Amino acid sequence: MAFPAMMLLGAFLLLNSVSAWAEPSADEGLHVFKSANCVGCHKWSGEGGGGYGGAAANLRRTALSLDQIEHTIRCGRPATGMPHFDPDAYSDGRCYGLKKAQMSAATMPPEPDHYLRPADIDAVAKYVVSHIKGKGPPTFAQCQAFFGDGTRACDVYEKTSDSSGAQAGASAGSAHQHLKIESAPDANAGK
Amino acid sequence: MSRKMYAAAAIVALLVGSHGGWAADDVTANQLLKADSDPGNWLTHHKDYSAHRFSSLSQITKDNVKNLHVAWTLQLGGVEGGGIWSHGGLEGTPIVENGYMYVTDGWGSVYKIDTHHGEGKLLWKMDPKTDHDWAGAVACCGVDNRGVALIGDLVLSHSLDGRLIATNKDTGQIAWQRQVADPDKGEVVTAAPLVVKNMVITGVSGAEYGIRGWIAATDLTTHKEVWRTYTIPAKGEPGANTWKDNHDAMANGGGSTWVTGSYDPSSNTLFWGVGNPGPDWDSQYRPGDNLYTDSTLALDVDTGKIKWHYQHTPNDDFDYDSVAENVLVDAPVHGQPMHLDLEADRNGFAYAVNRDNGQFVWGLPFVKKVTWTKGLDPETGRPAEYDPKLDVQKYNAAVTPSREHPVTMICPGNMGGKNWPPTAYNPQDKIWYIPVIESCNRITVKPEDPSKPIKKREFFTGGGPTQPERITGSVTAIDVTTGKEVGKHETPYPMLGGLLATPDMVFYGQPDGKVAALDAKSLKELWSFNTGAGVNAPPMTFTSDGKQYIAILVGQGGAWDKWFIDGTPELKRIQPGSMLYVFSLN
Repeated sequence: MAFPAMMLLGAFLLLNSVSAWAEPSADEGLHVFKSANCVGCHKWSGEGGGGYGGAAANLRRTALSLDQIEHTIRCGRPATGMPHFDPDAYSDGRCYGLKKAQMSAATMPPEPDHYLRPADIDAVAKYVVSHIKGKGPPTFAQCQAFFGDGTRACDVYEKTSDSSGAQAGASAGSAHQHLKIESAPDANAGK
Repeated sequence: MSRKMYAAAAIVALLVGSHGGWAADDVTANQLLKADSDPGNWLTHHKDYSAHRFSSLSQITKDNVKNLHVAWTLQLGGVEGGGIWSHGGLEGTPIVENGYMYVTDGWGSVYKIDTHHGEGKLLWKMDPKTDHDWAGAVACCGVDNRGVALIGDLVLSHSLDGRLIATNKDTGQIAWQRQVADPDKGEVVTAAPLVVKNMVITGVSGAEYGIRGWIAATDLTTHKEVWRTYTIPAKGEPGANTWKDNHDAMANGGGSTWVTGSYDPSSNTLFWGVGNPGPDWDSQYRPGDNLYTDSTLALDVDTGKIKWHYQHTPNDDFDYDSVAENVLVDAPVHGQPMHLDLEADRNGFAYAVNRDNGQFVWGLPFVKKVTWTKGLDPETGRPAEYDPKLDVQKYNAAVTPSREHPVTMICPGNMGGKNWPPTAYNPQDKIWYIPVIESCNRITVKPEDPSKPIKKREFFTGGGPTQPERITGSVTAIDVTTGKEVGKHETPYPMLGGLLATPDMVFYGQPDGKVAALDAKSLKELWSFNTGAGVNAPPMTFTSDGKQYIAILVGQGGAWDKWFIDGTPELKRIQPGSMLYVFSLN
């Protein structure tokens, strides 16, 4: 039994050494958050929430530490839709001491569209801690930092954000075309 | 406007063609009325206003279909992701006029293809620059666009971010556009437009995001909206008393209209299906029958006034929407001539109603397994357990999801039954073919809190589905004159693309890439070809230089691979794609 434990330790040291080798920038983490389609369930804001196919965790309110977040990204979460982004997560017991043969179809976390390199996992975990965890309700400024100003995806936050965000919205709003809806009156109103 | 600008605008108007002066190859309203007797062309979304998707072309027959092979293919775009979606897909029906084909990709780019001389040549591509993140974040069920409409010298299309766009047929330049739907409210548009008279009709998606659904008509001359019919009544309007809560659930009552409707010129009536109520699975949030959700609407096409409605699943607990196309058929039922409106519902039942007054004629289950009700009332077509005295319907209480019974298996699953993929009707044999999802799935109710305001651009579903059981499919045939099932061809995967009927065959595609032809009578397979990618769109047929072709868009999109893939685990290996396949004999 000592051998798997050593392998686990080895993997742990390897991951740690990679992450210690060069600090990822927030831009790298943001890039991974988008490209790995974290947005698909957790949304740009990390709020996740009730979804058509089940609820994703609210990362803004998460109590997990950096290490725990990184572990969750590598291993996924059994019996939920959270994928394991380490391709070998269930090959040797490194995740929750479990191997693929011990897992049922119902408990095995799904495979992601694309696996991530250890450095990417490190970067995106740090991004979640620095930009999402504990940040309260999402703001217009945060939304624009995520998407840029080439989209109307943030318009919905313009009126609800703090005043500085609203001002930014007013100026950014003119940067893209706003077609107005001129709808006809309700056809079935009145007699 | 200065005089110089005015002159420039007048020149532009002349160049793009005014509505009064169409050229010889322009599509006219009269041509659209007669689209059913124009076999070489496919001029409107469902082939004709009656939504038959039947072609009388007969070069390709059950005797020679074994020789059908790929004539040419064309790679399209639009596979990129946006919002919550990792990729786009293809759900459109190609439109063909005089050998020129118009198709769309999921993000709403329009492609004009010259099909003459036995090959496909791209003439132009109109990219509407759809706002991917704005729209893709509130598209419940994929990056989808189901195609274009033709009128005059214009190609009309929608974009996911809520625009109606008119493109010059010859140049590929946008002639005009208007915003019809508002993604800030969770509204997006996936349906193909429908041109009737001098109007173009738009349906909306978004019942999973707390919209109040509508159908809107835009005037082709003024480009202004002529009427807008809300599918959820406002306070004081007929039907408002079917929302019995005290927290204004109507304001976010759902009722989207994301499948193109049909039109009966003899009665000047537009027929359009209405989607599920919101929140989907928390029916106790919205006591009452929740009109006009899960209904067929008959509208005066000039005013948008509702003539009649027929509701299939009052106070829906299941997400059994009724957006499906309404198929208009004149046929005898038990010997008596009838004007019928056929609809194959998500709830697993096929319905025929009298389209002059909305009275029920016949109904039957078209899926192998129904558990939510024991059947339809033979007089009214209502689910047998429906109780008008109850505010919250329980149907078969053992399986109906509720706050007290929050985790249940339902059959059919919430995708249906039958989803948006269109049926086809053979008017010679009076047989109606339904593309079926044979399924059950598990619903978990997560009640919505009426004391909290609804968050814009967030899911408002009151729960969600999971897929613990395998899901398959079938092509199921119904004799319209009797309302009886006359055949079922089972398929290993659900029908996610829809059907085409020819005099002696039915064509379909499967999400594992297979395109196939069945004998119209025996439903035995006569021919198949695997495209190597997921088929998520209906086949169609046309002639070019006098030769018959079958065309189909191939590229997995829609909701399946995000929300339902566990019911078809083998399909996880299907890669996104975007390709037009065209088949011919020799």
